Amino acid sequence: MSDLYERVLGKQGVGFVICDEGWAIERVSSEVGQLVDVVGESIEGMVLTDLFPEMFGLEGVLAEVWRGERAGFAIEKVARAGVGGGLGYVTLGVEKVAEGLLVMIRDVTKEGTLEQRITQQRNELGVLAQELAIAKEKLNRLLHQYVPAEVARKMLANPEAARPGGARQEVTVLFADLRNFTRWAEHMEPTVMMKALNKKLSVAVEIIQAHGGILDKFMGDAVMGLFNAPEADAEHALHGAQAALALVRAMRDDEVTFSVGVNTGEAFLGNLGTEAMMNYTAVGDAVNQAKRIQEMALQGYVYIGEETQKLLGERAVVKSLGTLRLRGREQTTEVYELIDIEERIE
Amino acid sequence: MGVIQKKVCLLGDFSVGKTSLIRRFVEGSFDDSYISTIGVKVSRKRVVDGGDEVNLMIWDLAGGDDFRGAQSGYLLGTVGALIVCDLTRPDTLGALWDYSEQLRGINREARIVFAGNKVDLVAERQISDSQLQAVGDELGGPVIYTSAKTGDNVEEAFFYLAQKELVWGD
Repeated sequence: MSDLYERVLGKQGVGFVICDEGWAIERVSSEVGQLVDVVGESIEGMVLTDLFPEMFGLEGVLAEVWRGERAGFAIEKVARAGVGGGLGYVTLGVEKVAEGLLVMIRDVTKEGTLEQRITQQRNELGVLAQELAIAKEKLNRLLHQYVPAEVARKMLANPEAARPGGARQEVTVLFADLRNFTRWAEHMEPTVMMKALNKKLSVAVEIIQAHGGILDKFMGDAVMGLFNAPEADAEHALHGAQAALALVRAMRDDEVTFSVGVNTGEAFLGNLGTEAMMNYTAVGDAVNQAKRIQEMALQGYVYIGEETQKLLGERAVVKSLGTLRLRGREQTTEVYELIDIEERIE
Repeated sequence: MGVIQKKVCLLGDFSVGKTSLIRRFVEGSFDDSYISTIGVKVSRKRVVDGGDEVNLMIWDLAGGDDFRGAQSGYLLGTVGALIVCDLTRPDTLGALWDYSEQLRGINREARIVFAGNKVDLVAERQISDSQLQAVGDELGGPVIYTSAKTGDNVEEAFFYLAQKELVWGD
C-alpha cells in the first residue's frame, strides 16, 4: 500500500512519512530528502517531533487522529531551511491510514514566497499608516499650541483657507495688560517671573475662551482677544465685555492685575503675513481704538468704547468718562467705565 | 540532569519585533531590515533551569489578522508566550488583549509575559510604562521592556518562560 502512496503522492511532488503509534518514523518516501534539511541522519527511526518540531505540543491532536476521533489536521506554510540552506515553506498534513500515521509534506515555497511579499507590502503600509497617524496627531497638538482651536479646526478642514488674506468684519476686541508687572517682577528670578506671568496670562486666556472668544496674541505682559471670529457670535460685544469684567474680578485681590479695554467695530480679519508664515488676526481702526482705550484704563478697571456700549444697552451698568481724544487719533470718542453686566453667558 | 521540552510562542501584531526577539535570543544577532513572517517558524534553544536543561521550541507566528482567530490551533501544547507590543506604535497595545484571550482559550494556565519591545527608541516612544503595566495587571502577567536591537531583557523574558516555577520578581 505504501508503494501506492509513493506513486500517487510522489507524482504530485508530495513527500510523506509513516509513523507508528509512538510517533517513530517507519517509512520515508524518496521526496522527503529534498523537502527537509536533514544531513547525515537516517530519517527512518526518528521520532516525528524531532524531524518536525512543529508537531511538538500537538501530540494530543496526533493521538486523536490516530484513534479516528479527528479526520486530520494541517500546519500551513512552515518555514524551514530547505536543501541547500535556502528558506522554503512546506505544508504538513496528517491523516490516519491503515499502515499508521501518514504525514504528508508538500513544498509550498512558491506560494509562500508570493504570500510573504504581499504580506510584507501590506504590513509596511500598515506601519506607515500608523506612523502617519502619530505624526498627524503630533502636528495637530503643536498647531493647537500656536493657533486658537477654532482657527486650527477651520484650517484643517479647509487647508485653502490657510492663505494670506481675509475680509472686513465686525468684531469685539479685548486688550488686557498687566499694569506694573515689569516693576513688580524686576527683582524676581527670570524663571519665577515667567511662571508668575504665565499663570496670570493663562487665567486671561481661559476667561476669554470661556466666553467664546479666541486668543489673538500675547504681547509681553498683555493679551489680545477677539470675539465674533472665526465663528460668528451675534452677542460678541456682550461676551467680550463679560470676559473683561470676569478677568478683573478674578484678580481683584492680586497685587498686580489687568487693565482692560474693549472696543467693537469693523476690522480686517484674516491671515496676515506671507505664504511661509502668517497669523490669524484682526487689524484696523477698531483694534487700535481698543488698545488706546485699554491704555487709559487703571489697574483693575474695564473701559469700553462707544459702539460696545451701544450694543450692550441696558444689559450693562456703565459710567461715562466723557468724550475723549485717544492717543494718535484726530476724532474724539466716548469712553465708558464698565461697572456691572448681565452675567449670563449665552 | 533531565531535558524538558517546552513549546512557547511569540504573539503580537505585525512588525512589533517577534522574529527579531527570537533571533536575538537564539542566534545573538539583530538585523534592522523588516521581513514579514508568514505561517510558522519554529526555532530551538536549550537553556538551563536549575538542574534541568530546557529545550525551548519557540514558535514564531505571523502577526496581525493573519493569525488572530484563524490559526489558534497552532497554540495547542503552548505552555508560555511572550506577547509583544511595539512601544512606538500605540495601536499594537490593544492587540495584547486579543492574543492573551486567544491563548488562555487554549491553555488557561499558560504563562504569559507582556513585552514592550523597541525600548531603545526613546524619542519615538508612544506607550508609557503605566499603560503597559495596566495591561499586565489586568491580564495577569508580568511586563518587561525589551530591545531586540540592544538585547536588553531579551534573555530574561525567555528565561522566565523556561522556568519551572513562577519566580518572577524574586
